[in-house]
Amino acid sequence: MKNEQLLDMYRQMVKIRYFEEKIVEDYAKALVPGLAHLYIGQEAVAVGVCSALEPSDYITSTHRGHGHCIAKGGELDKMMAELFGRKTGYCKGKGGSMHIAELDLGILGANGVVGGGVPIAVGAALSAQMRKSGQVAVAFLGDGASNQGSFHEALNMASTWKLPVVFVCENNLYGISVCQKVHQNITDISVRATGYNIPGLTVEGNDILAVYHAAAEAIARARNGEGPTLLECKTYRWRGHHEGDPNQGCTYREREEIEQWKEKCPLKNLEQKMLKQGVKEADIEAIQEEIQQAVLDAVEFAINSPFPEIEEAQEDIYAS
Amino acid sequence: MAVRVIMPKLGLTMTEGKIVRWLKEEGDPIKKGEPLLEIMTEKIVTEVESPGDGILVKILSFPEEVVQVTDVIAIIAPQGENVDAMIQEIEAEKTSTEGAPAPVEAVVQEEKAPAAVEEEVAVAGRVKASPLARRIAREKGIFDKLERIKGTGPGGRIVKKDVLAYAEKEKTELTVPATTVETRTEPLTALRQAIATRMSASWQTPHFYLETEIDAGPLLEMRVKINEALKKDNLKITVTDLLVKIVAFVISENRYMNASYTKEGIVYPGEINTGVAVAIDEGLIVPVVKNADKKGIRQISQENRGLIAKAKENKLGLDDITGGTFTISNLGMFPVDAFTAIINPPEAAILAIGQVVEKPVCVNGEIKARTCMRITLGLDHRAIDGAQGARFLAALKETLENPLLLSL
Amino acid sequence: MPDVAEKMVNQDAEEMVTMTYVEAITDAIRVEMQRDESVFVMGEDVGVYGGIFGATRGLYAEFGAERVRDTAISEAIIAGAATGAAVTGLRPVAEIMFIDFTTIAMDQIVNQAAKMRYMFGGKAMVPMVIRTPTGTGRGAAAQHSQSLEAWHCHVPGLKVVMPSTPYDAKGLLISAIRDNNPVIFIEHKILYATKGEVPRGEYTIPLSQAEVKREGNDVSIIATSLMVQRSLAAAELLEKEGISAGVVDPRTLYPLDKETLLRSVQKTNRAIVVHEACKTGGFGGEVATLIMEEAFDYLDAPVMRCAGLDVPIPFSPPLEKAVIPDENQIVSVVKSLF
Repeated sequence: MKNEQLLDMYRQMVKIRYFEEKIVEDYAKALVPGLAHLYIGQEAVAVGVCSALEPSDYITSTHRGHGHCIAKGGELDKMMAELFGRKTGYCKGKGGSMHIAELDLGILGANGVVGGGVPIAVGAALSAQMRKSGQVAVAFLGDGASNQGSFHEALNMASTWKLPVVFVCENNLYGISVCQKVHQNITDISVRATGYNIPGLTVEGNDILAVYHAAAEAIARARNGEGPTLLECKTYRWRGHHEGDPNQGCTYREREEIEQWKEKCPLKNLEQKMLKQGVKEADIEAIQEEIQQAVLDAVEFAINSPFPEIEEAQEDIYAS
Repeated sequence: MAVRVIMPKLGLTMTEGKIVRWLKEEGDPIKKGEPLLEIMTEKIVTEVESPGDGILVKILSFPEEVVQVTDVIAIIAPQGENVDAMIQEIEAEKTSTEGAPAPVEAVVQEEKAPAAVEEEVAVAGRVKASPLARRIAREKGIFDKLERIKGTGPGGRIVKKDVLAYAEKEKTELTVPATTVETRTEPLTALRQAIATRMSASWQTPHFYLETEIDAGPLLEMRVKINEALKKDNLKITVTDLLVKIVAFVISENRYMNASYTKEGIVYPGEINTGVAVAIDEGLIVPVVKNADKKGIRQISQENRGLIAKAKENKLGLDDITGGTFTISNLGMFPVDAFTAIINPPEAAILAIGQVVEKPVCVNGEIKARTCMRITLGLDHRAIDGAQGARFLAALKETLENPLLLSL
Repeated sequence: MPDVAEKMVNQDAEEMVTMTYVEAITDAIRVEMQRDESVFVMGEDVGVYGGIFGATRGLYAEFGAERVRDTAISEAIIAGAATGAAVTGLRPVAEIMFIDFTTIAMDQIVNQAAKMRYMFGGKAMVPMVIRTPTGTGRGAAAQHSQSLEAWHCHVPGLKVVMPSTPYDAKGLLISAIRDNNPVIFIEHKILYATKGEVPRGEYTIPLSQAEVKREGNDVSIIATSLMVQRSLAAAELLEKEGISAGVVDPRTLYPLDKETLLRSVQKTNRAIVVHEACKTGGFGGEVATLIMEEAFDYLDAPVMRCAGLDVPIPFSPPLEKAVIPDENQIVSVVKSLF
């Protein structure tokens, strides 16, 4: 892969990382209302998959969705403003962290319901198939969602109708506080594809190139009318389930486990690959500085944006 | 075997009876013929004897209740006998009677005995009336009488038609006005504002009043004579017309009355212009007869009539109501004996005319019937003093009582 | 009867034909599928079989498997895929075989489809219809006979429609398909066989337009779905007893045509609400409260509900019949107001 392409991917990952780190800070300062489920540690999945998508393709996201939205082209300003509950956010401050959506970018919404977005991605794929638009839909989901009925119903319909959809399961080992061993009797979630007679594969989710190549193949299959794929990416969330989860989830997991996964940092992983391939360190640092500033600007934008007018609470319920 | 105790018919004309009191309580044993309760019929209280032996198991009608003759009011049964079925039967009979078209007689009864329904309604702790009935009652100003209205809705609820019927009845009986008059604010018209401003300003003027009674006989006689003379011309003069002429005449003899107090000095206008206060729908207006001292009564009368007509039609011009130097206000058409009028600035005097009254007057030691009129002169003390006013009033009285003086 | 505005829109729909309620529904879908390529049908047994109540009969033959899609017995994905298809440019008409089964699709209906536009700050449109049969009368017992319209009315973002005649069914369904919001379109199993005059071509009845099915002076009976027919029968009986009862059919429960309901109550000063759903938490409570809030001073009697008993629908026919209102019950509730 070309240096430029790698740097682009890296820029997206840094965006997600710095954005989320800023949320840690601002959540603590009570600038971000409600819940914030952070994506730190999983950046390679969102960026790896979305780098293989066309701008017109669809994604459905999860409650841990900031990374997916940024990777699909979400602007930091509007993301930040939405998280701050401001009128200038992606959803005019009405959705917040768990509902960021931008139809023009193909983002059919983060989702507050575990497994809730998966059927919607199937519907979007059905629509693409019927309209013969050539679009592909990606449903991001977690290990938790792989136990939901909606996941199974979705896989069944998608495989039966050979819909252009890719199910990307980010197995970060925990459904909230319950570790995978406790919530399902399998290690590789990709085996569930067998039940629907579709390809299922598991990749190292912190290795962006592994994710990218697997996703690109699945997306190509989908686009060629060969039907869906279940792609499992093994990864790990560094923060607790949400900001405020005591000790980053150390009530149900060991600190050592978190540290071990931090060793496998997806950003570091890509940095090393780039340096090996001859990318200049200065270029990497330039990206870091650029994004650092972009995140500060986004916060500035959000803070200076107005809250929605009270009357807006009763708007946008029905389309005319 | 259980026995039904009914409201007995105790006379040819008796249709209903009122329970006064029960002499036994539920559960008491009782023998046939023993006094069971007292009822009242046509103001006579009568004891009712028990129609059977046993226990008074159930009382169905209570003191103050008015019950139709033959309606069941209690049940007497042997110890231990279940009377639930009988109670149900009695209830059912009652409902079926209510459901059926009411016989004319029953309707009459109902109307005669609203007390029973009121009782029921009151028991519930408050008057039971539908929201609509309450609203209508409020609108008709009879909300405080809701408790007097008999409800015909379910459970004795007062409904719309009950309120309407009551209101209609009340209207025909004329006991109270059917509607109340609400407090309202009428916006100030320009005229009303002008009156308020001028009268308030005038109130700052130090007024004093002089009053006298005149013998109006000659004046009225003169009017009759003049009117007879004018009959051929189809004209009629009024007392006011005469007053305008006489007042202007007397002023011309006492020019100090034609005055106006200003900061620069007391102005004595050259013309004698007499204003006459006229009541119109919107308020009060004072058209002015100019130079009345120089005009004949006939002309004054014509001018006056024209001005009054214009005033009533709201057609007075500015010229018609300005330039006055003295005002006459005549309330003699009302039962007003005398009154103190407020000066119409910038004038310095006003003459208030009371009604003409026939009354006994002492003339040369003899009581004689005379038509009298009280006139009250209001004066601005800044321009005119008491003695001046008194002199003017004396001259005026003399002329009014001897109108022939006009011709001098 | 259509009002003047409707008639003007529907000039090409003059010719009337007699059809059943279920045929009217099929006809509405057919008309819309012919008119608009983005309209498609999906659900359980809607294809070759034509729907278990026959509501999609003939559509598979006419439009093919691509646009008339048999799905797995899998309600969540039916609703979810409809949502996803709707938000990306199609107009799905999904069938959920019994309203009882919307429970299985509830996340997709309530949390996804209904809220999507709002959560996304007004950016999304979700033009989808979920058609679903309601009610008792087929001996189908507790899991196939419920009346769950009130649940759906309780979710801002959904529209809820309940036609009571073939004419209304077709006109309202065409409007529902053209509407840019998720619409829960509730059909009554017993009404499917009822016949009525229906215009042959296209015509629409606006969602949120109630209809006075019968004028009356003494009491307003506000009824939905099958209960409209029973209330009309009750009104006949009441007329013989000297009570002039009007019958108002909201037709669309949300958004509700409050004006027509209130106007009727303001005229008659009395109202009862009749529905088949069990009384507690039913739509009748909503209507009664609306009347209390907006027309309290017009009431000459309390607003009463004549509704299903608070029981699961029993199987045995005499029991099934006994737990929902009939003409006599409606009559006796009305009479209790006088």
